[in-house]
Order: sequence, then structure tokens, then C-alpha cells
Amino acid sequence: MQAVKSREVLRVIDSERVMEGAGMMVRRSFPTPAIDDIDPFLLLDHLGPMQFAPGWATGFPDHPHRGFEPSPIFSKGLWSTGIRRATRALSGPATCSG
Amino acid sequence: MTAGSGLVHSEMPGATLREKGGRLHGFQLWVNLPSSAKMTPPHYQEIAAGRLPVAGTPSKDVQVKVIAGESLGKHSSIETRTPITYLHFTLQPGTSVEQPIPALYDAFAYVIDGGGVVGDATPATEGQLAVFAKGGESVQLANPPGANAPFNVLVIGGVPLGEPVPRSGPFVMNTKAELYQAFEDFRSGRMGQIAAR
Repeated sequence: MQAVKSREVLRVIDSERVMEGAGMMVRRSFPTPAIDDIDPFLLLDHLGPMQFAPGWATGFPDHPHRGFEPSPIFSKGLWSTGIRRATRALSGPATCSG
Repeated sequence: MTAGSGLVHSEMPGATLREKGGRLHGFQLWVNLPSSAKMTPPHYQEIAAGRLPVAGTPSKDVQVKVIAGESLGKHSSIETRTPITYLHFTLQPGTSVEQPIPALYDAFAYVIDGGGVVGDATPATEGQLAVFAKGGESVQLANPPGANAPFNVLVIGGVPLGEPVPRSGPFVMNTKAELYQAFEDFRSGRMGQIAAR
């Protein structure tokens, strides 16, 4: 006997490739024409994995947010998730902010 | 990070990645705030990936990075205003796991790479999103025996807010009027800032 009721899958949906930030290609799971938000989640983007040549790394320059919690995770690469005009370099091999 | 009433920030490569090049891999997840917290002061929390709890079986055939919530006995220290579960599972071929998810939560899985079986018997491969039905208190993941790669998959869930979600670009509010106000506040420099540490 199963202890708990396990969930079925309603739909399987392909992600879409979209351009974000300073020319960063991301795979967007939602929102896409196939699916809007998954309450309480508004967006999921998959960045990379990608390889940058020296001098060519780019990212997401200054932009505003209001009304939700952006939770970026960068598992590879040294990223400064900087504060407005006070970009701070991180020393660890990887960072996660929530 | 809680944007709340508003902030301006950037996500740019650090000096080493800029100068020497290298590999980059990441995710961006936006979690909505209830209308009562839309205008809460901005808050920023940062945790080195090395400090994220990692749980797994003794053989390490099943491992999970606990980004938010709890899995296989480990609990994350990341706080989001809207409570969520946010897990990165790595399943070696021939393994499976059943992850408890509160019945109230809406939940989905996203395949980072490899392929596997999600839910009862639904195959999913790299770049695919699997949306779980409501109800039920767990989700199942499996990497079939004979598969030739690990199955890397995110499992994400949270309590639905059940509120209207008008959004425009970087702002997500409850009404059109609030959206217009957000653009006006941004243009006039009234978006809040978080002090650099």
C-alpha cells in the first residue's frame, strides 16, 4: 500500500528559446504561448550551460523589479549579483541568491 | 531576493569570468508576492552554492541540492516570502525517488539534462517542463535502468496565491493602475535600492 498519494503529470511542455539581458539566450519554461504562470511562480528561465571566450562574458545589466521575488541561481561562473551601480564581485566558485 | 516595492539591480559576470572566460549555467525563478506584500521593502539574501544543503542516499545514486524547502532530511536556509520547495535532483540510471510535496502546493518539474520518468510513467527529456496535477502529497522521479546519463531535474512547488497577475516586463502587480505606477516610479527614480554590503 502506498503511504501517500503521488501526483500525476498533467502536461509536458517544451521550453522556448528567448533572448534576455545583453544578448543572453535562455530556455524559458514559462510563460510561453503554451503556458502562463504556475501560481505562485511567474517565470522559469534556464541559462546555459554556455562557454564564454576570454573577454566575451555578458549578463543582465541594470534593470528594475517590483512585486515579486526574483531568485537567480548561478551554479557556474563568478557572478556579481550587484546592487545598483555598486557591482560587487563574488569570490566563491558559485553563488545562489534567493 | 524580494523586489517588493522596487529595486534596480544587475546580474553581470565577475572579473574572472570576464577576463578568463569560462562556463556559465544558471536558473532564474520568479516567485510572486501576495498583494499584501507587493510593496514590502526590498530584501536581498545571498548564499554560496557550497553552503546549500546536499542530501542523498549513502551510495550517492540519488542526490538533491536543497535550494528551498526540505528533501531527504535536509532543510534550506533560504527564505522566500512565499513559501516554496525548490530542489535539484540528480538520479543515476536505475534509481528513483519519491519527494513529499504539501497537498496545497502547485508543483512542476523541469528537466535540466538527461531524461527520465516523471510522475507515474511520463517520460520527459532535457528542456521539458512537466506540470503536476493538483492534490497528492508527493511526486515521483525515476531514471530508468539502462539509461546512459544522470537525470538532472528541478522540482519546484509553492502555495498558489490565487490572485490576478497583471504583469509587464519586470513588474508584476495586482492591477493595471499599479503597473502604470511602477513604470512611473521607475522613470522618476523612485525605485528603492538595497545598500551595497
